[in-house]
Amino acid sequence: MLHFMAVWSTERQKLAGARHGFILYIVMAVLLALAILAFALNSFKQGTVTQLARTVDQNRLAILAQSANAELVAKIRSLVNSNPDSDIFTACRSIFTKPDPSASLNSDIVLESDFKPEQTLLMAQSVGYPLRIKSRAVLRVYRRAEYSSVSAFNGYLDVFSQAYREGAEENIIEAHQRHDVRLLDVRHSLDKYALFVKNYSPDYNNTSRRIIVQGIKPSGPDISRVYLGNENYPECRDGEKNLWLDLSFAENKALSGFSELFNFSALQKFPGGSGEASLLTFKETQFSSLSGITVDQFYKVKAVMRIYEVFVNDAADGCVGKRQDFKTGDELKKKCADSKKHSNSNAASYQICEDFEKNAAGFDYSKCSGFKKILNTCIVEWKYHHGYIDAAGVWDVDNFERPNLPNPRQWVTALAYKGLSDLSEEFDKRGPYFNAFLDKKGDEPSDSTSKIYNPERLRVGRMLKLYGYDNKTPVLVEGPVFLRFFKIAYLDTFTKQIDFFDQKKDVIPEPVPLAFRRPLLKPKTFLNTELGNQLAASPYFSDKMMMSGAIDNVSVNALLGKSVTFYDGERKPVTINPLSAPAPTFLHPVQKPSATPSPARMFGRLVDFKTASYNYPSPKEFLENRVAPVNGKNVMFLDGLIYIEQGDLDISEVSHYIGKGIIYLGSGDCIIGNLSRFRDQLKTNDSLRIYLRQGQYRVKAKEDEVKIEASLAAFFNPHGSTDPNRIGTLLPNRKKKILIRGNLLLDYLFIQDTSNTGLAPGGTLIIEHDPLLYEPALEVSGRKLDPYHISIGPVKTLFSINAGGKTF
Amino acid sequence: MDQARWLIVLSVVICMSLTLGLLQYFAGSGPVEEISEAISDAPAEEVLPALRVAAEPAAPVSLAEIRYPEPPAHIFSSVSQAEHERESNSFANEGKILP
Repeated sequence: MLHFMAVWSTERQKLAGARHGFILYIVMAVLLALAILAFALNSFKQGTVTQLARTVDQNRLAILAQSANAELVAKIRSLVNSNPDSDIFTACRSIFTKPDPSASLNSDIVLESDFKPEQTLLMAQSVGYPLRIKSRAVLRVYRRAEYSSVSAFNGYLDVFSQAYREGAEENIIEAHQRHDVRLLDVRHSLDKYALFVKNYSPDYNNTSRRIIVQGIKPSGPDISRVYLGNENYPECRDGEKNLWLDLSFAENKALSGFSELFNFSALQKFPGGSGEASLLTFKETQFSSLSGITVDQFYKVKAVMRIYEVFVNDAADGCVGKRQDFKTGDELKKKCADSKKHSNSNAASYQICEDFEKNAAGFDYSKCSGFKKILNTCIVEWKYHHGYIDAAGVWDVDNFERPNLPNPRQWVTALAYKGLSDLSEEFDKRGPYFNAFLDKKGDEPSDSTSKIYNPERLRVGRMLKLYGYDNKTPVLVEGPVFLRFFKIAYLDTFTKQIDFFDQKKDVIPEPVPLAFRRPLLKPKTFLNTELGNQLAASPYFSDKMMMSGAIDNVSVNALLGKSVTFYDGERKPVTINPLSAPAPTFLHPVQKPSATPSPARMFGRLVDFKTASYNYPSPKEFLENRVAPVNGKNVMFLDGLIYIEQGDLDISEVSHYIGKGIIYLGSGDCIIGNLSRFRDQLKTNDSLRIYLRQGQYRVKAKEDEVKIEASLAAFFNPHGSTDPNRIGTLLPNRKKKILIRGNLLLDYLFIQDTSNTGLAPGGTLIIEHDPLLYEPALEVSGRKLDPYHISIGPVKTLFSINAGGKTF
Repeated sequence: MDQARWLIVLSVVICMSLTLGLLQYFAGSGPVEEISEAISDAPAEEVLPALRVAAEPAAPVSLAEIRYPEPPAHIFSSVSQAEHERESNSFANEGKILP
């Protein structure tokens, strides 16, 4: 046992010595492992970790650079259309004001060269990231719209941002993005028109529904224009397919041209008669002083024939010694033949009867010496009376509904004054004026076609209120448009004692109303023979026919007086005297080149599709993208030229709009209700132009009164169809009042029709020409408004990240 | 000695685990500020758009204060037949958004 203990002790001492060496060995091994680990970690940091850190940094820098780009684009967007004081605003418009914009294409316009994106810097700072960043924006305009009437450009905006962490400039990141830019001058020649209608309209003289045009207040050559055309004139025989606007004394008397035209002092009446004081002017002329007519033209004047027939009947009765039936023509001839047998051949009665029996041929008494004597007496004694009057003075134009014709006023049915309104069977109970134009006979006897002469001349009334609410604001009217007023003329009665076959006889002819006869109708009578005399009340119109009728050869611009100034087609201020200028003052819309004017049917807004800011295949996408509720109202956001390909655009639920833009609808109608600017017009110059290429406006609103602040244009392309579905028009849809504050440009304008899509009875269509639409670049209180709009596309058409390199 | 070898390996593994544990522990505790403010689940206040829309009614323009500049060059330019045809052609091509 003891031996065993001794051996165990010895072995144990040996083992203790070996253990100390082992621990040392382990410690050394651990230290070695730690050294290896430290070495490995150090290598990892300087390699993979450094690389990882750099990648992370680059990602951060790339995001921050993009943020800076976005910030710069946002800044440019916020300034480019709304801050005239900013350099960006000015620089973006510089292309428009260059003398030769085409030469300036493809050159860089630097909008920002060293922009510090504050929001991005703030964001980096807030997370303790030591960011250094700067941005640059360059606009390059590379294309001009290809139509001379359009001022628009295409360009792109390049935005660059360089970002790096402070102290690590070698690890720089540059982000580059590009946006399409559309630069648009919204002005167009059509802006100068308050109203532009290419086709004939039957409603210009409508009194049950009215059109009111309120032009801008003229300033120098700046004056609102109105073009009224005669395309699609109803088929008729009349060679003059013009528009005639009926003068209204009540509404037009304040215009300076009115008093000049008539030498007007006060309303007058015909002397001695039962007429009303509604003549604008009256004149009495000795009949014998009239030239160009011949005595033979008066052989059929009934008043003269009647006197002669009375004298002959009296003579025949005298021969017999008793009163017999009154006879005329051949019956009178027979009566004379029978009666004279009872008389002495030397008696005056016998000679009168013999003269008639021998010389009369039916109702032709021209060879009878007694008739000649009476006629000569009349020619010496007659006085020709004529007065000018408006349509409302002749007809009761306020109390009739189409298709009826207005009734003549009571006083013009009196014998002397019924030259326009004789309701006898001779004129088919319609009066000479209406009957003459409903006639199916041509002017020449040989003309055998059966078209009605011209029913459009029957549309008498009051002209549309061209001169505003107060009838005093001038507008310049273009197109084949004439002013129309009327003349009532007659040969007055007189009393003259003559020696008639040795008998003293009093010649007292009835007044001779001078009935209307179409001026070109043949054979000519004294009524429509051109006199050598000028009967007009002033040198500013012509009247050379004796008959009552319409004076419709005066330009409607004559109402503006002796002087009006406007821009001609070459943009030069021109002053003319519209009273003396040939009528019509402007057959075609004013244009350049003025020497070879194009007809109005060529007019329209050409659209360069490349300059469209947004393209939508249908109105649905447009409404989804550009209409949003603001403060409980549906607001449309405009941004330059917006093209919608096809479909009916229903914006009747959109009540307001923000921005400046043109909505161009390729094909489809526009359903529209109350629509106004959301913001102050003077502060923002917001404007909306809607152009329908193949469609109509249909007014739809709950209210009876609708107000639309926009330019509404609907010119069907191609123009010229007579199909109602292929004509650009406005359907008022029974509204009582439609106010368009902007302008209205249509193929066809109507306010009353049988399909009940016109205005309600008594309704008004008001077009207030918006001065900011007439000239979007005008100055208000010294502040010039902006006619341009710059659209920056939302899509990045190019995007790149450049690590380690930079371009500025 | 075999037993000692395993001890060495064990110690190395422990050291590495310890090191990795330390690395794990300190990971993400760099100079990034700790966001103490909790994001509320409650709906945020309505963010107003940068474009302040002043709903002011359009004031009628005082005509007395207006001055009109000269019209720009493209005003009154008439549309030629050639331009009409060109536009019609472009409408047939570029005007077609959908096939």
